[in-house]
Amino acid sequence: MGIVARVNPPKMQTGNVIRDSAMGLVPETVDLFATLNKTVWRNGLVRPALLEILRLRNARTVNCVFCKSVRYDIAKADGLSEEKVDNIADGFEGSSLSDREKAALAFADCYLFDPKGMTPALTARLKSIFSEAEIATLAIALATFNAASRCAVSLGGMPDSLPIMEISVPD
Amino acid sequence: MGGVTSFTLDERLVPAGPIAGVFAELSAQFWHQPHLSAELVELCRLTLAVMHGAPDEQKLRHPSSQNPAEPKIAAVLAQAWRKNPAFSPAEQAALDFTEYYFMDPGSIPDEVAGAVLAHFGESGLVCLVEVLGFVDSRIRLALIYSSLSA
Repeated sequence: MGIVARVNPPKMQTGNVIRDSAMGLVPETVDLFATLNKTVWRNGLVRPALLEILRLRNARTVNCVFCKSVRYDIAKADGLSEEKVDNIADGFEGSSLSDREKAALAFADCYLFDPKGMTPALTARLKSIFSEAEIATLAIALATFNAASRCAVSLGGMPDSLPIMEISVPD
Repeated sequence: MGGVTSFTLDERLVPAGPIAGVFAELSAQFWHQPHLSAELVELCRLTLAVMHGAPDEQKLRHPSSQNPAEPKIAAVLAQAWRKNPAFSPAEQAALDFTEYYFMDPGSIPDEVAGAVLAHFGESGLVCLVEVLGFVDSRIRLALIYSSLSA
């Protein structure tokens, strides 16, 4: 994949990172996507630090350099540390992450690597830790993160690396 | 209660609250945009269903899909659309892109993305990757919920 972006961002910039990205070239869906992203973070059923762990696992797997470099400020305020981020790697089951964090990452890996491979053991594990509403929230969050990062990678223009950037959830 | 598909997924996500409604609304919007025909979106959905090995998904036809001709559907399900004269060059470009997207979006060759750009323009390419993102996500979640709900 080349470093040259395959499309140009919209000429009219709004200050909103989603609307100003290539997604802004599809005005019929960009507002709903921005609303979905905002609602994911502000739904209140799952804490932001756990959502960020899920998002970063997806970012690593898809290898979206932009996504990997971002830290949402509300996740950091909720206790996400770089030490935790370092544990979002292969072998996370043996890390110091909590049972909830490890279960969320196992759910993410099932989604990312083998969605047909949801075992009875993983199903039981998820249901023993998360409520039905929490699982549904994690599912939608993961779908949103995955679609966005795959979109970014597909459109090219990805640098080899970026420094960590703390940002707010766009309105 | 197995057999969840992308068509029945939304009812499983309702416990998440308002976010489930936004997710459903956005997913539905991709069938009603001006950049890609609903017929092409359906052919892409079926391509992803084949690549996921999701037979329940392959049996369904989306109600907004404008009913692609059955021989074209059969060719997609058999992964026999390449160089098939029933498919326009634009459709072939989109389906080629879809297969690379499924395997690894980082592997999409410039010439494959360029073919999509040539037929659909910048907005069409962005719309295609958004369509693929949400269709693929819905199939993945449906497969997971088929086990979670069993």
